[in-house]
Amino acid sequence: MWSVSDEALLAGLASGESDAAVAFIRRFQRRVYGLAMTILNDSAAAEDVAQETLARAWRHAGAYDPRRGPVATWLLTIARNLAIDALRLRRADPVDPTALASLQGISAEAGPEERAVVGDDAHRLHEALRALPEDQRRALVLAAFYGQTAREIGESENIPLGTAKTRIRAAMIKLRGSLQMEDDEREL
Amino acid sequence: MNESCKETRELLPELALGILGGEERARAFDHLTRCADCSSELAALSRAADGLLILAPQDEPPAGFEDRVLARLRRERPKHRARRLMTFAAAAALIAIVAGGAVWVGTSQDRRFGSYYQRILAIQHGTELAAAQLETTDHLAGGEAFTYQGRPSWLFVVVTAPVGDGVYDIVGTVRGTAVRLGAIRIAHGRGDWGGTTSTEMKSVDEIRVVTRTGQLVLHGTVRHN
Repeated sequence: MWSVSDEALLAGLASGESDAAVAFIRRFQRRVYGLAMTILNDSAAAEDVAQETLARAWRHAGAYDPRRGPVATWLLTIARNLAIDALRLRRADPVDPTALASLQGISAEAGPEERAVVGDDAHRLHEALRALPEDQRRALVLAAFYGQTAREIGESENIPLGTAKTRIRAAMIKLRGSLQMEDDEREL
Repeated sequence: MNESCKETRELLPELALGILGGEERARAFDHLTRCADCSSELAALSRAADGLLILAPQDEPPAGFEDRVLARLRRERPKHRARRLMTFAAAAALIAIVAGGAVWVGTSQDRRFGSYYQRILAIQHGTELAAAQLETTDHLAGGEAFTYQGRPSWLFVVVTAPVGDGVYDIVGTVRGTAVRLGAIRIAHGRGDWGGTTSTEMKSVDEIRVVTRTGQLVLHGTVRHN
């Protein structure tokens, strides 16, 4: 079952195969729980989000469209949205500085096996994120992982709204450019 | 690139990150329905924004996590099936309406389906019955839309998605232009709406469910014959 592709595993999940459900959970639980824990910094809340994410993947497996990206990305987008909803319910908890620092300083380089799971995008994005100026990286991480709007980032960073928007935009354009470079290299 | 493109491009990074709200979001989507270049730019930015999530550190869930998830899936299974059956029942009921009250006896769906389909279409001078699978902006399944090209043409929309209670507009895209087709009330994640329309349903490429401020909630491509 471990050699089965993510897409095939998801198809098995959709058709109700119990082996596929076990394998799917084992393959993605660390990633889903890790993201939820990073955002929420609370193991009970992170487990709720991780459980709901896997249950939704099971319910909606038929809606996954491989043209829109890898299974892992699809799953993590669901987890991120659920975690942000949970975060907003908790209202004014500040972003955990340790988690934020670890996201900004993401240093673990993806190994070959990891690359096979997440694709080359992750490697390129990792490099591009590290190369960003710190203020842009911080704004991007607050937006991408914690769902903070430009206005919220402006308030928490004590900068004007326009500056927050500029930082987010500049960071995103560089990240997008790193993927574009990869596509161009592929075509050569 | 025109002025509208330039203005939209400024908004796309925030839209891709899912942090753009209200009026700006509605304005961006309004432009995106008409501009393929900006839509592909949004797709590229979204790939970058979503791809970032992979970089979060992994972590071992608490002991027993796998068993708890499996138990939950087992608990939810009957509900899941029931929901699928209800969706099927809605489509079946719809076809029964088209057939002028004929009852759909569906133990063997495929049996004589071609001729049955032709007979149904003929009842209202129809040329096509088409469907769109609706999905949320998070790419989750969110319902179905059925379109009928005939005299009269009509549309039937079923929503089963975790969206807020309220009244939403149903909008069709005809050759890149948005046309309002109706309104749907959604409560507790469920809603349905059907009605006749003077819009040529065969030309509707996409069905969208949007908030009254134009924010996209659900959308789906109509699969024509």
